[in-house]
Amino acid sequence: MTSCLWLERPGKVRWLAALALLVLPLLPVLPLCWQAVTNGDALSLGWPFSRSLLNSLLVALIVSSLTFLVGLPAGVMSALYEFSGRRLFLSVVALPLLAPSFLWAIGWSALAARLGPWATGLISGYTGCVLVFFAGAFALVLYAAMAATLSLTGSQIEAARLAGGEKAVLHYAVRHAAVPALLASVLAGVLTLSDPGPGQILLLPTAASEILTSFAAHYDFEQAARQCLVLGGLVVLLSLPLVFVAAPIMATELLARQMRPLHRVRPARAHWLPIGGAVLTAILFAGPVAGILLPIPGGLELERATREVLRTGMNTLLYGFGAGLIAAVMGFVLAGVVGRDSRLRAITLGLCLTAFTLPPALLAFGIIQASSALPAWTDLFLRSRFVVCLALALRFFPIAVVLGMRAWGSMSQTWVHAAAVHGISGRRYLRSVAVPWLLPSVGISILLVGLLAMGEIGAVLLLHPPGQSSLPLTIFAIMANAPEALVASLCLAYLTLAAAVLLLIWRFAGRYHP
Amino acid sequence: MTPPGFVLRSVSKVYDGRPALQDLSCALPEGEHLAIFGASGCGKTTLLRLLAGLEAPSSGEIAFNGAALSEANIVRVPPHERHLALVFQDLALWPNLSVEGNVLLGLAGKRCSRVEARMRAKEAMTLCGIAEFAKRKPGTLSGGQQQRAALARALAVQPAFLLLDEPFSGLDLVNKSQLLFDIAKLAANERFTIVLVCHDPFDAVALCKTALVLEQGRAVESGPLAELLQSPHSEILRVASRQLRGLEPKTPGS
Repeated sequence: MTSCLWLERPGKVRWLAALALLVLPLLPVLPLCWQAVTNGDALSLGWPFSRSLLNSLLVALIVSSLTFLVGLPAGVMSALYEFSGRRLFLSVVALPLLAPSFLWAIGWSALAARLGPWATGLISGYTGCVLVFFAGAFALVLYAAMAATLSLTGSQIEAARLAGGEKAVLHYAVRHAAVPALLASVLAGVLTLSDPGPGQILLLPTAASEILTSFAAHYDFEQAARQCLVLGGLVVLLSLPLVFVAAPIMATELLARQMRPLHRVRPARAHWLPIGGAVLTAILFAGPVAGILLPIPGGLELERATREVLRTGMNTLLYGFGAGLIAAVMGFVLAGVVGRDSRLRAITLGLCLTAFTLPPALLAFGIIQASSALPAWTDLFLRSRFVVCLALALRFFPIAVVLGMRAWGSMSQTWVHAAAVHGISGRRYLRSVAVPWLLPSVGISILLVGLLAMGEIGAVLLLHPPGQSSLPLTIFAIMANAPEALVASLCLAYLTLAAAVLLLIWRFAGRYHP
Repeated sequence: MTPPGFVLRSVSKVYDGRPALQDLSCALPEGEHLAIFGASGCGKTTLLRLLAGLEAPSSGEIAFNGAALSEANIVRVPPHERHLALVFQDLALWPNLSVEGNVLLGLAGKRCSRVEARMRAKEAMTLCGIAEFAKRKPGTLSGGQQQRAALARALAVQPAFLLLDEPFSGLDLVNKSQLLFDIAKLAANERFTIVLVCHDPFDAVALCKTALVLEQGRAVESGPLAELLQSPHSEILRVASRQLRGLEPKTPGS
């Protein structure tokens, strides 16, 4: 009988297997990169794209700085203090997770159109893009700062409180959470570079929106692929320092540890906390939600909206949860292969972070190029809905890797050792202990990746087979020409669908979290 | 003729260039309960892991009844064929299984029928006083009950040696005393030999007659526990001896 000790044994095999799994998502991109390297003038893109790139960088910089300045204190205080409406605030802040950023942009744009030309002028361009991206980035930074603060023990907080009261607690917690919050804000900024939606809707030429235009409006695949490569290169350059600093921290934090959790207190003069939270959420969400909902009373296009939802709903769910399933399997296998080797964990996380920041269209362009170069019979696979799921899975699998590492790390090494002493085979151990323990996290991973993949439009736009569009892509495609009420009804339908998935995640994560 | 049991010959273990055990030679005869003392990081747990076959020594040999179990960097006999059971410091109960599930899965490596496995599990749980919690998951049990569940899982395989890695560290005095008493009784009835890693001399005296003291991976003292406590050479046994005689308060100022 083979002992199950191999499950915890470090070795070169782990490095090789992890490398193989990490290279897999990059395979379709390699021919594109090769072409760019061999073709001398491939990277000369002209002034319009360079200007868009500068716009993107400026928006990313503003979003990063703002989210750090607001998200850090908000996250620290949400972790440390109990105040009225705290749960509601934290739930509302998660709203950008519900839907792709372009839906919020539609909301702002619709609201501005209703208010008049002065509002359209105000919200279009930089202001609108920053507002839309800020909402999503704020959630990321707030949760990062909150998680960092919650990693402090109750005793550490009480010691700070005894030493210098609430001022000392805040000072200590902010100092502790500053680095993770800074990293999250940089990550959020880098992620904005690859998102085409807000720029397209709010009339700011950004690098990602230019790529989309090159492909979808000018049908210039070569140009779009080259632009995407330049953007990808820039993103990698920007995310490298982030990866170097963040990956080792994350690798350590993802291992479970036992500690006395901090006890949230209700400070004496805490009335300004709910007020601050309410003002912030009103600024971020009241506008776009009103923009989406206001056209509905004017005439709910129920019949057409239902027809569109029925036509695209199944594909939306299939793309989302197909991607979730593939990403979860890949992510959990990779996390299992990586094991507890701290260097391998840090390197894997670093590469995953880098892959996550790359423009999603890059992978799709790689697949398109491969499908045009390969024999026609490969179209059965390369132009199928499965490829859309695969591309979305490869886009979001870093999230599954992080969840997988957390779940594997929550299993004590001694569980395997105890199994080895009792002569339990590796297969039996996996079947009876490891897999049942990991399953809830796999479920959360499928749902979370599914939710994010459902809202992704770049890869779906480039890869979906004819007539197999998703609901968000349909909204994106018709928003310029369709009646306002129809767009609003479809947005509402999508938000309801996504809210149901988010609720599932919450229920699931609340019941089982390792 | 050497009595049956484990024999360690010049065993060393090195982790990333840092020696955890150095040139350790000793015998662990069957029937002689042994306490292993030493400061944190002196190699006590490493010694247990080497005995259990969870790791191979970097050099030297571990044998049982004359047959080599482990040699330099090679584990010749896997853990489950060494006739031993191990109660880990963190107990290592599988949290998704009930107490009964833990004990039954612990028997998976033994070639026994399902009916026999159920019988042995029930017997072990009854012996350890945990039968009434058979259907409960470890996370819902108190510290003492979890210790008993881990003990039941270990005893169900009917080991010749029971290795205990600081199993009482999280228990209150009343629970610990009761558990020590029960383990001593079980060892006498079920005829297994205890190898106990501990910090507290009271635990060692309650269960063991012989002791081995480790310092920085080396054996500095070994022999009958009573004699060692009479004339201790190592710092840890000097303190233990004074504590047992009530000459040194356990906490300053008390």
